[in-house]
Amino acid sequence: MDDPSQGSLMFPSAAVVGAFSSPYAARVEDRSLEEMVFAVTKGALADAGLTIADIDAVILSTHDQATGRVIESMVTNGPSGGVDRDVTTLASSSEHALCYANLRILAGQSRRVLVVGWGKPSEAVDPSHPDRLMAEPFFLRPLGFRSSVAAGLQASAYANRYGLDEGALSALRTSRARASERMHGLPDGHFDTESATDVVAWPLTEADLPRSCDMAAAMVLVHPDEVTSDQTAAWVTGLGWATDGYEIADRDLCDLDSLRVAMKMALRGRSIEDFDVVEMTELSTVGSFIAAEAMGLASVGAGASVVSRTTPAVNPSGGNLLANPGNVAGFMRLLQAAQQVRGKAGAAQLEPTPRSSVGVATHGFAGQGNAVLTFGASRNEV
Amino acid sequence: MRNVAIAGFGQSHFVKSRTDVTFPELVREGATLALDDAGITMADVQAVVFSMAPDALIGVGHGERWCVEAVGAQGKPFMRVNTGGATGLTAVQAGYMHVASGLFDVVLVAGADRVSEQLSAQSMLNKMWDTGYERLYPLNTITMLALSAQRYNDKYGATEEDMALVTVKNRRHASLNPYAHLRTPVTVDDVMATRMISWPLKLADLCPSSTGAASVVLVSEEYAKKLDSRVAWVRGIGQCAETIWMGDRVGPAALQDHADADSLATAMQRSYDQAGVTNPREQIDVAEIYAPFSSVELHVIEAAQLSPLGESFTRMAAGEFALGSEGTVVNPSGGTLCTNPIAVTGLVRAGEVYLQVTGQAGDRQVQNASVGLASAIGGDHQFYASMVLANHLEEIS
Amino acid sequence: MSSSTSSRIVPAPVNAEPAFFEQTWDLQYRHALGETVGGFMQGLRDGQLLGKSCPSCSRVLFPARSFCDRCHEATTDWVSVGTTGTVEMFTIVYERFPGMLVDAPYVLCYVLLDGADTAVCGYIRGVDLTDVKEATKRIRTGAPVRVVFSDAPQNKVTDFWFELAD
Repeated sequence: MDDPSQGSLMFPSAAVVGAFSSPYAARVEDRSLEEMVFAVTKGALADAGLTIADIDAVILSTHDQATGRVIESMVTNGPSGGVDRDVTTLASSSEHALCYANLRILAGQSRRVLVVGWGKPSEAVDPSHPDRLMAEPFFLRPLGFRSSVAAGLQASAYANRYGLDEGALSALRTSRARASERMHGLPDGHFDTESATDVVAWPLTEADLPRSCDMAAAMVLVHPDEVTSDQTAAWVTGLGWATDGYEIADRDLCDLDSLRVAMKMALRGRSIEDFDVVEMTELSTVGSFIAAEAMGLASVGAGASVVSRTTPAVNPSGGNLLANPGNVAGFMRLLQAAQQVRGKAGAAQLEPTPRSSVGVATHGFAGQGNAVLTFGASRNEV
Repeated sequence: MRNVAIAGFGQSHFVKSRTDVTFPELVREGATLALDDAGITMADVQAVVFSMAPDALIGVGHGERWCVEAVGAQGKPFMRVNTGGATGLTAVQAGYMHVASGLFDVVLVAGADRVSEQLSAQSMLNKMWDTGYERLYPLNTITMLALSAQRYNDKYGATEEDMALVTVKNRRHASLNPYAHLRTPVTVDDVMATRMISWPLKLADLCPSSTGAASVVLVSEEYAKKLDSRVAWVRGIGQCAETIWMGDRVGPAALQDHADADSLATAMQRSYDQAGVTNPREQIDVAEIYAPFSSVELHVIEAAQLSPLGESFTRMAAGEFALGSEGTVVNPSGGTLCTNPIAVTGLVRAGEVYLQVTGQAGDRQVQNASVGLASAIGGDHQFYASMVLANHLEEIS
Repeated sequence: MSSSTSSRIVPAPVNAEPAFFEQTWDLQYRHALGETVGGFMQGLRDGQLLGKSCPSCSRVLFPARSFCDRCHEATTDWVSVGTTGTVEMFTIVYERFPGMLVDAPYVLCYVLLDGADTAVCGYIRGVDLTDVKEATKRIRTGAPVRVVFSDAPQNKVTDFWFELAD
């Protein structure tokens, strides 16, 4: 897909007409995983003004070890409305389920697709255990390699090349904490970023790394011709995803090549400056600087400027640094980007309602994989 | 809708275990074979779908991420599918979707499994069930299908000897398939003499734990024209999911019966409708239909409408479904019963049908095969995928 | 790329034995069961077998579940089901799988209890399993069973099982 003009014939590929996520909770202990999934599925369908009978495909996104289920989709298919329906499960990251929904609609195989994901890291007694299992067993696992270590390596590479702007890092932590509190209806100061100074993986402290929470989310995507006048749509105007190699030493950790590729695919010749708002995954505070550069929001080495960026606005929801629901951290960025143009972003809603948004989902050690969806408030916003 | 074809297939010679390669190296083996078969290289591939069932079988969480280099996917769109035993065919469907969307012309679907390296597989698979109730019972893939076999036999009057006929047929087929894992022909008496695992299933009614890789290349119609390669066109796809609760598949209030494979029948019908298959017995020349146990093949044959319900075993006893017989040949490769690398066993079904309809199936070739069916099952008979392939794009008659 | 002048190509090393890495995944979980499963467990402690009904298809789902996956609706009423029922399907396990929960041989079955619309997984105890042909004459689809409650309950669904009633 090198020719952007050919791509514009296919976009918008779909429209998000329903979205729902469970309220923020650090740990959900009074409801089972199945019950959380059922609630968000009902919520997204209600938001779309549809019932499960209107859906012709369900796409689930799973991460077995995170919640201790083998083939997680088995117990979550029922609550997702998947019985007697065409069900596909993506297990590489939740954002791929959204990419795949678009592929099904573009292929003419589905008209109305329900996409469901969840993260319930609280069910693992020590969530770092499933995290450490992602390290290949011969060289990395004996070293205790895990996401925070990968993030630390990435941050130290960046610090070595460009130095670290402590003021910008502190401002980023504070900005995200306050935005998250607003988004999730929490009191000011609920997220303490001042005293969480223990180094986890140098140069990153606890306050620089994502904090876990439990959350489930669902979205309804339909073929552009299926959008009714009762529905509020976020039109998918661009789509791109890519994964880098696993071998961390082969990558330039100060860059996110897979994000550059995903952005190029999704932007189709447009500029990031043309968009009103960006919701992006931040694997760490320093990771945010790196992602901003890879996205073209900041020039190389100047990623710290993302903190003061207002056009586009960045992470008005607070992002995932204070509310990181495991497998759906990326999914939630895409959901919130869609909600912004639908005018349904809750306490994070920008005024006036944005006309266009970009959602960036990142997964894997040091951001190995990225997916980007762009949304428009009208069908013509391509 | 855009026409999409399988232009290449590669598979390992499946064995119990491989000590010469790591998991990514094994994946690369399958991918390279498929690319060579299609006459293209990794550089030509525009997107990759990775086929991988439970991470716990491989021992690496999100093990697909470890394999990106092995399939030449650095910097490319890459995603992974997991629907349990149906993974391989769902992955081929996902690859189809990539090309049919219009966004890609050349897509690689690849994966591998090393089931025997998981020393406590059934205990691990017990964790498929819910934490409140059923996980507390020793449900696993064998007991769940033993229940189905007992119920089928009771419902239709089939016996353990009838089940054994499937093993006999498929082992003979596998003896003609150099890629199959268990290739030794057996008799009904041989099967009946093996030890009882979970009544009525005996050891020879069950699949082996296989190790190996498999991969297909999917291309658009425009791209296919540039290749000097026979292709198999995807004519129809379908999927359906069943309730996880096996207890809901019995009794007067049930909509499906655990003795049968009703939701598979639904998935297959969806693929038949897309393909324009109106009379499967007449129109499907070859069926590679996932059945890890002998008993399962009896009801999947019926789900495919290759036999009325409850008649597959009498027809098999009369010689139907075997290589050399008239009518649809079922699992000429030996099927999942003789070779089960879980993560890719569904992919192998599609690949074997591709070989059949392109005339590349060697000693296991079904003469003049033109239209074939591939299917796969995941979970506790919960996730079903079906695909119709043909060596032409004309109406199927 | 290494530019060291001391690196040099050498013959491939020969492994006398294949190399392996052995690991056991030691993952611990604490799964929230929710109020419905919690309610079922409370009922079981009180000697009751509780299901819940779906307002749409009217099925009594047993053991109790918080939603009906056929209708995609939340269940509403709690329903007490009977302590007698019928075997719908069963197997007799002879193989000793590593890490499994009970010692073979044992009977695993699904029973449709009176008043329930879905069958429940459970054990049948009290049948001699040494001769599979004899055992499968007694245990069969359609065999009547009765529930037995454990007198040493462990607060698990396995605190009840079945015995043949004929």
